Amino acid sequence: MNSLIWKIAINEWRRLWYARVPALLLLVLVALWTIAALAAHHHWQDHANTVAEVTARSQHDWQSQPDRHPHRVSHYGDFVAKPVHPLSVIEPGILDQSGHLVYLEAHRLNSANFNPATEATSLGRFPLITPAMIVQWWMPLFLIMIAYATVTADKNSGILAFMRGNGTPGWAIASGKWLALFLPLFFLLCLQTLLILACSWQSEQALLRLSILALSQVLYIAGWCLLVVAVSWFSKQLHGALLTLLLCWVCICIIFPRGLANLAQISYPTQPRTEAEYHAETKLQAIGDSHNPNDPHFAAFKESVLKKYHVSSVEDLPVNYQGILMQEGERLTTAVYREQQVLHDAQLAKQNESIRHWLWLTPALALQYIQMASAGNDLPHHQAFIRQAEDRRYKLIQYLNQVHTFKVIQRDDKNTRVSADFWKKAPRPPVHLSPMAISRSSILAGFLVLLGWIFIPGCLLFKVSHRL
Amino acid sequence: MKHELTLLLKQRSIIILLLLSLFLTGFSLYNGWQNINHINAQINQAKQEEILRKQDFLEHHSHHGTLDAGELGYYLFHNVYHSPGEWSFIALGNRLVIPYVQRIRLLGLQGQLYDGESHHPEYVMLGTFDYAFLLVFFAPLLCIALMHDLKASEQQAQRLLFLRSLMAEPKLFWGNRVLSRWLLVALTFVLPLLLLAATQTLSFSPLIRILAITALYTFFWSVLCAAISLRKRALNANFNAMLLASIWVMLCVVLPNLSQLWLHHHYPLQDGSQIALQHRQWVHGAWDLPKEDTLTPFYALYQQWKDSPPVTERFHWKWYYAFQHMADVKLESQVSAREQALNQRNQATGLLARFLPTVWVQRNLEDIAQSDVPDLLAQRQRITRFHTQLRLYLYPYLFEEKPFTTDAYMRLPVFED
Repeated sequence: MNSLIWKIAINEWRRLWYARVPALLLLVLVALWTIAALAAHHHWQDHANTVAEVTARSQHDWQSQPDRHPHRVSHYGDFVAKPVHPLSVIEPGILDQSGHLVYLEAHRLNSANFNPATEATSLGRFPLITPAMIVQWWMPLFLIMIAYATVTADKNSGILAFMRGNGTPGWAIASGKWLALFLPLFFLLCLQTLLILACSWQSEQALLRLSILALSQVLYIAGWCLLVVAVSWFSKQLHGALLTLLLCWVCICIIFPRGLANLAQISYPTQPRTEAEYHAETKLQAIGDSHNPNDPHFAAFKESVLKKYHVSSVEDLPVNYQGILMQEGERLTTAVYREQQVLHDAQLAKQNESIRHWLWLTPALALQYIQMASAGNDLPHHQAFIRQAEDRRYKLIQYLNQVHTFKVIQRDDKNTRVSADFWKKAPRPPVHLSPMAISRSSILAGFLVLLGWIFIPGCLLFKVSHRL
Repeated sequence: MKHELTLLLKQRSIIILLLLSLFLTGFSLYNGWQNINHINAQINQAKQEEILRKQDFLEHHSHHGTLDAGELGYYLFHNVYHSPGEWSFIALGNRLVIPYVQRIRLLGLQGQLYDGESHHPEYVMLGTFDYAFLLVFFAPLLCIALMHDLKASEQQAQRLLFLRSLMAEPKLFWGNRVLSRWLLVALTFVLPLLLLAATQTLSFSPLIRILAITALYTFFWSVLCAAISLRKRALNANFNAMLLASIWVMLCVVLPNLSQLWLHHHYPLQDGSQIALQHRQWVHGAWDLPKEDTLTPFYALYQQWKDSPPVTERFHWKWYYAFQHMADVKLESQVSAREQALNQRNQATGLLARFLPTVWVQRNLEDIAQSDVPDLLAQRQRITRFHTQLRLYLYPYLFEEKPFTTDAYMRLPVFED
């Protein structure tokens, strides 16, 4: 039976080859793919260079600080650039939209700034061609153009009836046709995977990320091949087959993904950043004012510090009270800012949830979620980066406040300069790309939809392949 | 023409397609409208809150009817707004990534100007479902669906020879056919728009421009489809469909992408992060320099305060704000170089738009909606002007050490858009 399926597949290839147009289209697809890969590589390199430059410059600036007062250093602050994974060449995801630089500073929660999307001209509103986009949009489109006629033509010319009359089972024809469409694309996908593996095998979690990426792409394309054969079998006329498939493509690839994202935004709109800052300040005011000597929170705090050191007044403290106060203030502001950040993340999660709810409508978006997750360019990775940066900020500032507490003499606080060695030794751990497990939920949801995407057209094909 | 329309509207598939298009146009307008409404509501709320916050600030920081101008410059934030225009819902453009409410204080402007907005980055990446998107991407597909088989469908139904023998003027006949289809396509876009404009009493001249753009663009695609499907031997509808779909891919995706690559290569833009790093270096470096190094160049720019009392103590607000401002001044050339690069990119896009109808439509709609690069630059300029206004208002209190009264506080400049 296997040889029968192969025979059908090989016959199909022969037919496609002699029709010329399909071979030509495949060639165009490969050309587009190459353009996309070159453009994306250029884009990625640009970005990686920026990140490297910023990191090096920030490091240099930090290390070459002179002797300073610690609080000056904590306002001088530190810059952290978002690390990029080499797989971003395949799927840049939100790289252009999310901002790639965070300024870490005492008692401030700064946003990730400088996203190229802000300064893009109208050309930036057109979808970007990336290798991932080629698989997600253009491969199905070219597949449709190449193969919409695969069964309908046989039907119209009577070959299908003839084959069935000879005892060839419908499912064998269906699998033969499917194989004929799927194998060349599968070959292309494998080629892509091998090429990327050759370029990026050293990067973090390269094998895991790449295999998940490749698996999702294969499932997605397999589903499209099933759909094309099924619709082609179902249609009575070539024209009907082509138009139905094109309509499916437009809905799945263009209308639904954008529509869902926009529906989510208008149902659960995000608050502006300033709103969050305003709320944080109101909350902080409610907690206490460290400048006000009569403030109950800070009066109690002072009492506890004096008790701890067994002294009766601030002047008698063996350490710098200003530094202790800074530590306490930083602790409080950080808690409030983190709370705000959690609220904001919850807001985004609500949007994501509403998209997930309707994700089964569009396997293209499901694929995109998996692709973005594997390239490390999706929302969870970005949020993890923000959290890491914030963590680094808090530790750094508290370290500086410690220096303030123990190395700055209280009596001559404002005029003291602390040795630059302290800045050189400051804890500034490099920010790493988060492991892929951070976007587990979107990967799972994506795969679930992709399995459905195999299952439904598969059932459809199985049912329809009994027809003549 | 009338017969053509009745013939068309008797086909169920065409009715479904047109209804789908009407629905999508309606949704795109609704979506844009909701987004702009949200932005407006947030701006209004922020304006209310700012009034409260300023009163609150006054209560907390005034001592016997006067305030410290230096403290005020540091602690008081001023809202600046990027308000949408009346027609902004037509194309949201880069409005989603530019903060619509931003907070500015008296410190160096370049450290504050580029603050990001807390949008959902995946949403921005997927793109907005606005009228511009629907027109640029979907209208051509509708035209292709309706007009790729003008001749071929007649051939398929074996009517072509018969029709040909009946036609007195084939050009008129096919012309009518194309025009009637074009009319229907254009109407599905125009009708929801007109309905919205009528119910919300929107201004007239942008409406006319949008209608003209819609009509021209759909007409362009109709003519293109007609040219391909009415060729001499255009009897294979599937070939026509594939050819037109390929043209669509080229015009809507491939060429704009290649243009953008060329644009970025030809007009390189310094990454904004360099400005941020440099700004920090200059602001914080000034602490370690002698005060004259800051104040002498500053007084050269602002001669009116040259003879103000000298700074003798360790810290004085006037020195502080002078070095904040001098960092901005030193960055001026870099900032204006970036601005120039952005302007050049914008102009080059305008040039490309003459050859790419898709880009032309997107650009013109964004121009009407005020959501393109020029509006971003204009907004940055407005913020800069406001910041300057604020500085000049507060400088006398800082440099001449005039007492900052509650009365002066009430007259603080407010950002107006």
